[in-house]
Amino acid sequence: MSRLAELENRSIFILRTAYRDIQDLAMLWSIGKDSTVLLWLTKKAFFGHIPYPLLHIDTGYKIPEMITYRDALTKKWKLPMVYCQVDPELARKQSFPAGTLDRLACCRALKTIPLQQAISGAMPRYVFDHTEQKYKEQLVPKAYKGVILGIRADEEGSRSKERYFSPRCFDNFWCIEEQPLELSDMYNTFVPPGAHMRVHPLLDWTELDIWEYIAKEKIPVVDLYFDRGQGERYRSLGCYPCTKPISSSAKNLRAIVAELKTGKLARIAERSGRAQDKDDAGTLETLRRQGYM
Amino acid sequence: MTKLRHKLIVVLGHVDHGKSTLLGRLLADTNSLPQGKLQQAQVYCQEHGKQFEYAYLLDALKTERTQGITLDTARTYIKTKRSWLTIIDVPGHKELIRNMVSGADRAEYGLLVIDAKRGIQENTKKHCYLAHFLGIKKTIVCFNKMDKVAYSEKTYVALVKELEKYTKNIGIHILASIPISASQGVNIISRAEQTPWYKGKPVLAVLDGILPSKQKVSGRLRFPVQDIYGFTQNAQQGPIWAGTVSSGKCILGEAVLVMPEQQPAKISALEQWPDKKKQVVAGTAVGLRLNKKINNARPGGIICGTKQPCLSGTAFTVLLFWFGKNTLKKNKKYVIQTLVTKVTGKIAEADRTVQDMFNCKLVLNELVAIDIYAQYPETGRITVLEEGRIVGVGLIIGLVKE
Repeated sequence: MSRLAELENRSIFILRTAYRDIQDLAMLWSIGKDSTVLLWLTKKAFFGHIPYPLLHIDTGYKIPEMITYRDALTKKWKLPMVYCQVDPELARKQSFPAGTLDRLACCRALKTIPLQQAISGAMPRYVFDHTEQKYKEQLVPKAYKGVILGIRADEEGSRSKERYFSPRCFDNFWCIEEQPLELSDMYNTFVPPGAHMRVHPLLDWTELDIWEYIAKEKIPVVDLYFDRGQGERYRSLGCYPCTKPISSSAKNLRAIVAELKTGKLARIAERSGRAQDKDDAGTLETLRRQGYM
Repeated sequence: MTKLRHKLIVVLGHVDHGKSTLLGRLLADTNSLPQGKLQQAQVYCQEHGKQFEYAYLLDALKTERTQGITLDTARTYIKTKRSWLTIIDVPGHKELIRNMVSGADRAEYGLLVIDAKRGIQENTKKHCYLAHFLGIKKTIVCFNKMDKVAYSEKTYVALVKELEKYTKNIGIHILASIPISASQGVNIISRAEQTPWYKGKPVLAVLDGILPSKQKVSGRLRFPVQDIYGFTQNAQQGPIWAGTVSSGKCILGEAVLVMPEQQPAKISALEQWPDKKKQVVAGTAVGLRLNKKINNARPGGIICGTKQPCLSGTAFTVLLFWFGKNTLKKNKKYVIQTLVTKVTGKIAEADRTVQDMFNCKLVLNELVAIDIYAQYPETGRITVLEEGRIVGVGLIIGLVKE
């Protein structure tokens, strides 16, 4: 069996386990390549069906094409789409782009805390209504007990230490020192009251695996990942003030795979375009302990 | 371009014998690190008034760096000429033995690191024992810190002998014993002049040469049922039994037994999205439709071929490794997890063999479908849960007739 087939099968096994064992499950869809692969794997795991809501948190600073793409695919695939919007007033005044917070504090204010509130239901949620073709506020947001996320172990140090099923305490905190024992096919799926579970089906995938899989399966991805004639493309997507495109002439999937395999990106970290990773060694770990994905 | 072989390797060894240092060295010397990562770690050490150590490339957590030990397993990737290795670094500290298991139980090979000066110690043995228990039967041994024993051939030979006595006893096969110094880069990438008496290959060449173990599709069909879905289209064709084939082949039209209730049926469809299949092999996630309604259909069982189906019972003998902070309590109610279901039960008998290993009799409150580990490892394991967390891992030895 090929590596991609093995990875796919394992991820499907994890998704089905999560769906069976965790009530009130949601999947974070950030519109990026990894969580789009998760979306595809969800369709495979549940035979074309998507049995849990897809959650997106809009900081208000997302690259505009991402939102357009999100809503277009939502309509096309009839996705159970839910989004939460960071208070624009807050984002305008208390953020890194506003000059009032450093990058780390901004990630916390616009991403970590909203994620926590989106999970607990403390923040208004907007659900896409496919009959009326528009988003409507969810009347009674219920806390999610589990959230599926597309993080990978090869992205950075603290993620290399993760579990497939990673419990978070009541305040979202990741107790790295107290991680439970986990087998490759038997997990701790019990969610204590007040806590929630982070599920990581893509932990074993590398960036190259993701792109090879996208190419093999012909998964649609947002075209920000491709050079559209300017000689640059995004390698990782996030908020525009902190995510810069890389210079690249890769116009299609084959060119991206080649770049990663042997070309100019073979030895450059994926998140090199993400400024928040650079302020201090261990920044992402600090964010992740607080509940960042 | 030839295809790279993928292999999963777990590092084993006592605390401070240099596991992370060896991996850090391999990462750096094989150009497996992103640009700037090595410099970043060097700058970190300078700023914190520490001598640079290759282990910092692995020990990513702040607490790991300040304490200078590995706290939890980490996945790392190394590219060699012919292979793409996923290597799991593990903590060697006694208290962290449970963390060593996570991510490691799927490994095909062990990479055992032993400090040549301090020799074979408690966790050297415990890791070997645990690795064998988890199914890792082949290992490569690195006698590290040879610089501290003046690259003595005598020390090396004595250590090899001592270790072999132990590993032979528990059934671990040693593929290579390499004298190295991870910090000095001796015998890591190329053979070093410091050990002219060593005629074997350096670490990288040995790692590059090992083969991925063959997947077996020879066993009888085992299809552990993860869930049963009724939400799909064509619901009139009956529900989809979802799972991953763990042994043998799943063939359209074949007769099967739904265990543990032993209800016969035929496979009427093999579902995958977006298309259907006629046959799938072990390792494949798939959905089955059956030709008739199964009474009391529920997830958690195993669909087997009609010949030599799995065990069906409530009491089993089990070899159990205990990781819990609380001690194992006989006759206490525990949740027992098989690959695809959870039931309550108790450990009626427990005889300690070595350290945290027990020969147990497990008595469950419900009938389960399960296998003997030696024949079907995937469906022959259980875990014991306490307050929802895995505290024990067990291998099924046999069925106890009540």
